[in-house]
Amino acid sequence: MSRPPLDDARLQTLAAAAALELSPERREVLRPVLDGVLQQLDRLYDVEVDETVPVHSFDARWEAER
Amino acid sequence: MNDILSLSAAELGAKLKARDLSPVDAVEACLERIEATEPKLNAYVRVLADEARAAARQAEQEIAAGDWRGPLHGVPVALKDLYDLANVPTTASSRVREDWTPTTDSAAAERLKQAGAVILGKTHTHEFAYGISTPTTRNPWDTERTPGGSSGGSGATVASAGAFMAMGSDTGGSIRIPAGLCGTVGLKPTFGRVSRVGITSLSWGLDHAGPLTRTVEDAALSLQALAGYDPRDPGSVNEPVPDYLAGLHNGIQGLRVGVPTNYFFDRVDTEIEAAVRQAYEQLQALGAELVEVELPMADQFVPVEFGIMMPEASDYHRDMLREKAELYNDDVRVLLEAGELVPATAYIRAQRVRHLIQQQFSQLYQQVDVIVAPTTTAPAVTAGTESVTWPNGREESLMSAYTRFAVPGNVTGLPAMSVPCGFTENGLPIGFQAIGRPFDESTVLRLGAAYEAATDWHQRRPGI
Repeated sequence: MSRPPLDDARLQTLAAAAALELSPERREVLRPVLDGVLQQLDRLYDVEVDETVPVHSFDARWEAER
Repeated sequence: MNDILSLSAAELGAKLKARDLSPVDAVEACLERIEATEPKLNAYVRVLADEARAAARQAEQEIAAGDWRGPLHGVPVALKDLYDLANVPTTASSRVREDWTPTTDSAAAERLKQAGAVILGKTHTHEFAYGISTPTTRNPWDTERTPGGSSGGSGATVASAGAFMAMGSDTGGSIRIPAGLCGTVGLKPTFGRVSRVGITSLSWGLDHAGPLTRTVEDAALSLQALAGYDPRDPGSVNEPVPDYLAGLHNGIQGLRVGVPTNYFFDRVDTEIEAAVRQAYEQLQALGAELVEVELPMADQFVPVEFGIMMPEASDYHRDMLREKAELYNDDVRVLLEAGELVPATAYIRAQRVRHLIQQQFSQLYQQVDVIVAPTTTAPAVTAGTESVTWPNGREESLMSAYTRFAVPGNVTGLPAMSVPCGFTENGLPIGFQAIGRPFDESTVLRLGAAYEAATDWHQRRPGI
């Protein structure tokens, strides 16, 4: 599914959710950059990951026991 | 230029051990060189002349007393200004951090001091390591051009003989790119090989620490001092540290060298491609077996890199971005803002796809011992250039062009070392990178040493 271009209203919503205050001038600079980043990240969903787990894992041992 | 500066770190270390030279003379030679070149290069945030002189005198006394610490004892080195050094500001080449002074050494600084190295100063980085051009600094081979980044100051000072070794960090190529563009060796060890404690983070999941040096042997002896498990770094791995110098000059007879048939020769400068293909012939002449390989999941390298790096960088900077946004340079600020708006699910998906890439590279390396490929797509561009245009007319941002060949090494965490392998017609350095198996830096170093012994690219010096 192709992503619709990021418009100013969507950007404002995203920024509000992140508690990131952006002036209209900042949004103008950020919008094409974020649009490109999100489109690039959409390529991650081309991969069939099945049950693959993320690479990072938590080690419950305390420091001295490692 | 002082004759001392024509030596490698290994050669200097041997002369210091034999007391044919004094660390004090070596430090003075470097300080004079730095003073002469800084007006054109601006490689340093801060030169620690008094501290270096004092450390050199101490090293001289220790060696004279028979308390020799190893091949770096008395050798002048530099730290990228992301590495903490107690009571010296770590600015990350940013106005955001110009008032911050750590009270303890980074793990790398601590290890280098234990090895007896003398720290000359802190080198410029692209702001917070979040970029590939180091705009503060210029390339010694052509001072109108970029040294690359983010460890641009380290590349510039090693190439211009201001220091015998300088530390870099590599999240998306930031050791190998300046090494390639400045004509030095640059070693990004395996993820987990060298502690990142006390290094300003860009991305915890992708950051690697390693040296830029004039020769492969210098990279090996630097790694020897730096490598080892550190429980304070969650990414550190408790894997035995071999003797990196032991088999360094054993040659590469029968070594299976992977020659990529995809990705690494897409959109690459023709002179770089020619130099790397000539390097394959040289490696074959030295006894290596060339094996064509297709890199798996190549279209995922860049999305995985940015899917991990951007949210992690933005989280590290979250508070500073809200308090001091206007102090960031524009290029870094916009990336930090964008990273805050990447969905958490994309970050997790990148970690899952990274796992698949790791599994497929494990399969790939059943066919080969090491893969050799160009370090960068393009040579050093004129400072301030923001994009490159390929012969087909396609324009590519410089960030993309310089990181594209580097990110497989970061995503896989495999050891990767850039080695000088030629020059363009304009006299700009070209490098190839050798990418090995996990924790098999020894093979990467052995390949580099064999190539270096058969060529003289690493012996050429810029005219600055």
